[in-house]
Amino acid sequence: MESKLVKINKRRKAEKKEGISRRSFIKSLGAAGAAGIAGCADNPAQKILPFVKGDTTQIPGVAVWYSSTCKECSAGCGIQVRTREGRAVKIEGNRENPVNRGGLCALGQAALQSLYDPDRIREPLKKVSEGGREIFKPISWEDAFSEVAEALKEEGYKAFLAGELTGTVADLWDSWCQDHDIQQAVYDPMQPVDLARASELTFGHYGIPKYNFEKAEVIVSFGADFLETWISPVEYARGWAAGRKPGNVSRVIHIEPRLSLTAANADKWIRSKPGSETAVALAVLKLLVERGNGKNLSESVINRLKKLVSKVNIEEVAYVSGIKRSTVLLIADYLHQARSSLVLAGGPAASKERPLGLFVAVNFINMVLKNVGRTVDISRMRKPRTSVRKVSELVAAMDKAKVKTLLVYATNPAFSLPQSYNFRYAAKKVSKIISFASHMDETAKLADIILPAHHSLEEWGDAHPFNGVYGLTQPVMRPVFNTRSFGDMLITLSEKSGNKKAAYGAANFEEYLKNAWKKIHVTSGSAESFKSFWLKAVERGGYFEDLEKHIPVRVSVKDEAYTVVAESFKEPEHDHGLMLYAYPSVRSFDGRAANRPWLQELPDPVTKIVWDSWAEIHPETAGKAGIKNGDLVAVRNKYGDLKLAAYITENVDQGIVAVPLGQGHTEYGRYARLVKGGNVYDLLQTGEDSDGVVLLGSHVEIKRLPGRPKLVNTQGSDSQHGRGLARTAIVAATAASHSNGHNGGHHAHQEGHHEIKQMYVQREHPVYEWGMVVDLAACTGCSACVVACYAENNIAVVGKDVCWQGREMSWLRIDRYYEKKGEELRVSFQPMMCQHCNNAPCEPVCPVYATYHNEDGLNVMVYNRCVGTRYCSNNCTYKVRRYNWYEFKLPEPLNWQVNPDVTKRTAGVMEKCTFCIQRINEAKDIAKDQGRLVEDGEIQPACVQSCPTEALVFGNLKDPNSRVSRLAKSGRGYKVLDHHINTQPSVTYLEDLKWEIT
Amino acid sequence: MARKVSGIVIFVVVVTGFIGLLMVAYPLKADQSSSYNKIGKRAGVYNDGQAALWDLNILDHFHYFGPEARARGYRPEQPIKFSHVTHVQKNKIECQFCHWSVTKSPYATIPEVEVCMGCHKMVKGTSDQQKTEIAKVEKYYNEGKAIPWQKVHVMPDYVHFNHKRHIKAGMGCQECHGQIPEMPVVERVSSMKMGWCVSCHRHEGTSIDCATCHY
Repeated sequence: MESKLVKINKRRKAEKKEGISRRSFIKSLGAAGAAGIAGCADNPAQKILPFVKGDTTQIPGVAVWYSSTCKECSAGCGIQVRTREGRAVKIEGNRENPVNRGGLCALGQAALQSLYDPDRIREPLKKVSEGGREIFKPISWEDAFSEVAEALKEEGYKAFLAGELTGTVADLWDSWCQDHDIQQAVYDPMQPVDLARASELTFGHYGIPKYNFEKAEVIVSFGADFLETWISPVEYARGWAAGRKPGNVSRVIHIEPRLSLTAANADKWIRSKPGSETAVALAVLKLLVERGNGKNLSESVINRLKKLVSKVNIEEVAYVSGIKRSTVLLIADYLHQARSSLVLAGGPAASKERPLGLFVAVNFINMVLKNVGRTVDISRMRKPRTSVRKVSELVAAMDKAKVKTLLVYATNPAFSLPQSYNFRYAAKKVSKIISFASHMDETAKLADIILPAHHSLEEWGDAHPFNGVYGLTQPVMRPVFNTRSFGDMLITLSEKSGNKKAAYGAANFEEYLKNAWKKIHVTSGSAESFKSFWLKAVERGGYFEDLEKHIPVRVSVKDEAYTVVAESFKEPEHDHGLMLYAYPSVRSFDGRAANRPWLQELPDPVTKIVWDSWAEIHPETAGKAGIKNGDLVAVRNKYGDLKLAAYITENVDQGIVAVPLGQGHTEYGRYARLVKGGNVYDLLQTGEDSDGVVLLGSHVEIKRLPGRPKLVNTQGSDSQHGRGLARTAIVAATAASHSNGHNGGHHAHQEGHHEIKQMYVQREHPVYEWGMVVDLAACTGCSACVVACYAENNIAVVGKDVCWQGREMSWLRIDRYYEKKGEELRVSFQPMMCQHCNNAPCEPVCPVYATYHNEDGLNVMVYNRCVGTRYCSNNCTYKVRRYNWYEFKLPEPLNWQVNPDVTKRTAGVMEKCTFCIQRINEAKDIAKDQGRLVEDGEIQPACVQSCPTEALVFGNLKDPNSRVSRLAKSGRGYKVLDHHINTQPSVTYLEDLKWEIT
Repeated sequence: MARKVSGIVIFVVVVTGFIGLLMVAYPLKADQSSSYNKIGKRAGVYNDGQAALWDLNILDHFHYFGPEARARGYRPEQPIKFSHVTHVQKNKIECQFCHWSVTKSPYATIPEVEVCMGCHKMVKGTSDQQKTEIAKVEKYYNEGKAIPWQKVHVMPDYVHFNHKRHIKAGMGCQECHGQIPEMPVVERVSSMKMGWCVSCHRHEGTSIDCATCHY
């Protein structure tokens, strides 16, 4: 028998192995209890650590801002990064950059959580076999470089697969690959490559045109979700909103099989059968040509077009597309009558096996409508380099074990290349995979050696989205981990490999970049020295030419354009099988944003689901398969299967199953892995004539599985129950030519003005009365403001289970309501935050005076007075108060992002929107220094700053000339529920404006 | 039964009386460093009717109830025996020479080690103790390490105090921090509790809105 001592020793050993046992767990409970008691009289003694050396640019406690360029997608928006004591704490849009002019999308703002991602690769790693398992072991940079340099020196097929690089680093990468005799391939699933190819056919120039939404009176979009993820959503949303200002209201017709964010915001959403958009576009082209459009084109072009569309039968198109003949005529009518218009195609609806027909047809429509050169600017094109065909050639070579060395940077083909290409299998046959990934994604996991690259906020670089815009990226802080800049690594590697050809005339990438910018300096024709040109560019965030300047471009239609369209007639008629409709979402994009808790907890703009991946199915289709809302369904085809929760909605076509892209990671990080259900890319098929990823057209079957997974939807009710919360003024079509949008208004503003008996003493505001105006006509529901609020105010991310209990913490949410009028679906988006009521229902019920109204008109929440009765939340009319049921700790270094100007709340405390009181106090402080009052526009709460369309305006209501005062008085203004309960909110909503399109 | 009840009553009376005595006696040893113990001129906060317990300034004196580091008289041992007597009183160095950010930032901040070295590259001290202490600073500087000073004026996280505003309003450092020039080791002389702040704000007629500091 074992002695007691031996037993204890054994148990201790076992504990060490397993981490924790029952006994030590109980022990730790005891310790926690003791800590709890000690907590009452805990000693908050703190250390205060000064800098060792002073930094003239840093004053402790004062923020330093750096201008830079966002690299999250290829749009090239300008950003400004706020740093405190050397750490980036907030990303905002840069007003100087002509792409976004101040706004920034949710994805761009969440780049901070990618920078501080706790699952980032922290140092160079090498894969070794240990005990039969392959694991990554840290190695020194020195060893990593020499190992890679050795691999580069070896003879054999070497290939480099990269994401869509831009600017100088792309040039360096090109020459580096040439010098080292390396085959190049570019893969980014979000690039509309086929659109760029269609431009080459119809205009003679490869690239994505710059679309000027603000100049278009009628916008017709064939599936292009330009308000959420398509190409450059912030730029387009700004242009769209400019066109929708009262007096200048543009009309949007959106044709798509699914209710996307753009469909929800369109004046008319036309449901089409998937794959039928080409036919509709050709019908519209035929009608326009018949009506005499296209006189601007040369005789030969118009004649060929006439011949081309002569075969189109409108009746047949109506049958195939499920769109009424009258509706097709309506689209043509609107385009024909408009002084200026814009026709677009894109998104999953246009991402088919043979996509060129639709794109070319749309280009022809733009040509006959004289849009090319006006709303479609082909002189400023972005040229994507992604080529799935090239990538598939590379994968084929890998599969035949021809590829000796594969280098990978900034792309994740093991996740986002469809299973049909078999990348994961082929990768096993490559003798050495070298990855420059900064995150441990599915592809990095396959690598033999990883040289982790910097995040774009840590390195020098530039972005060149289109002609005339040169954005600069600068390091805003010291690297979080032991990583290197990709450019630096290339230069170092060419030195180490002793390659004679590779001389870049620069010791590091910063120098190389400056040399490249010397050329931009010369072409800019600037009279100043390069040094001052450079410093100015760094300060502004880049060098930007006058975009109004006209650049003449010759348009030449290639013969192939006509044949492509002619061939599209041969396309098989609409197939009645069930098709997969994989769409990118702002929450996960193509998958690159899946490990960011802010985005995972951000409700999807349309469905309002958080922390999940789901399948949108039409009730009819679901009924046939016996599926109810919330059931677990298997979506499968020969390439793979997904197990998702069913979201039954009438807002998709019967023939599709819509699933958001980018979820279902098996690697990439702790938050990404939480969303199970499988990777949608796996099910996609290869495109016959497409150079991008084919998002539509994979046939799938659905089957109900046992079980009901949690599908967390933050939208309590889709209906407003007639309470007039989010109001829409429908402007009649007959008024179209004259109205400035006021005709259909409810004039709700007056409702609050009749005499109401006041129970409370009316507030007086001696100097400031802070208030906000939310223009629902400009709000797209894109949710950029929600993420901005999370970032600015240290709002806790609570996870799926707590959201399920209805305890999400967002101070600002966007409510989405549906209203059906006959066939038409009206969707309303309403940002809802604390209304800072003058008669606030929350205030009188607080027993401890933790919430009260102050002189500035703010409904203040004092955390340290709050005892957590939650009476205020129960009494709040708008349900905007959030209670801290738990305390959430962020893992290192995700906590580096915390804004030091805002108190982190503890468990048991109520919280809510403060109108970013820390910014108000900062502005007041500056104003006081200068002996003046705060000026209009000086304070921008985080939500207001982030809004791409300037739908939110903040300011002093006491000042009758402030922008917010003037807007609040407009005829469209109303206050939510004020006419029912006289809360007197400080937030005024302006009615949405929608055109009746009949 | 009756005896039992009366026993409890007597016990309660004695205990309350003792606490009462303490409450009266403690304020008598009033806060010497602060001249703003009186209730301010401007009565009432913006929302009236909130007669505040803090006006009496009683709770301030029971630092037994609070953590030591937030009480008056807190004088932690510092990693370096830095003396304000030597620097300020004897050598007449202005406060802002070292605490330079106080007019620019909400924080007064402890000077960078480089600032110490600005003088101590040349000034190496006379007594043995001075020499060893300066050598310590030098060691920190050469190793590129921050000196782990113990914070004397610890504020809870939910208080946002702005030094700049107070200095620009013409307040002297000593009004809150006491006679620092006479302190060989810095100690906390004011309670720095809310009642103490508010009493001065009332006296001066400045903002007593909660949101001035709490957000």
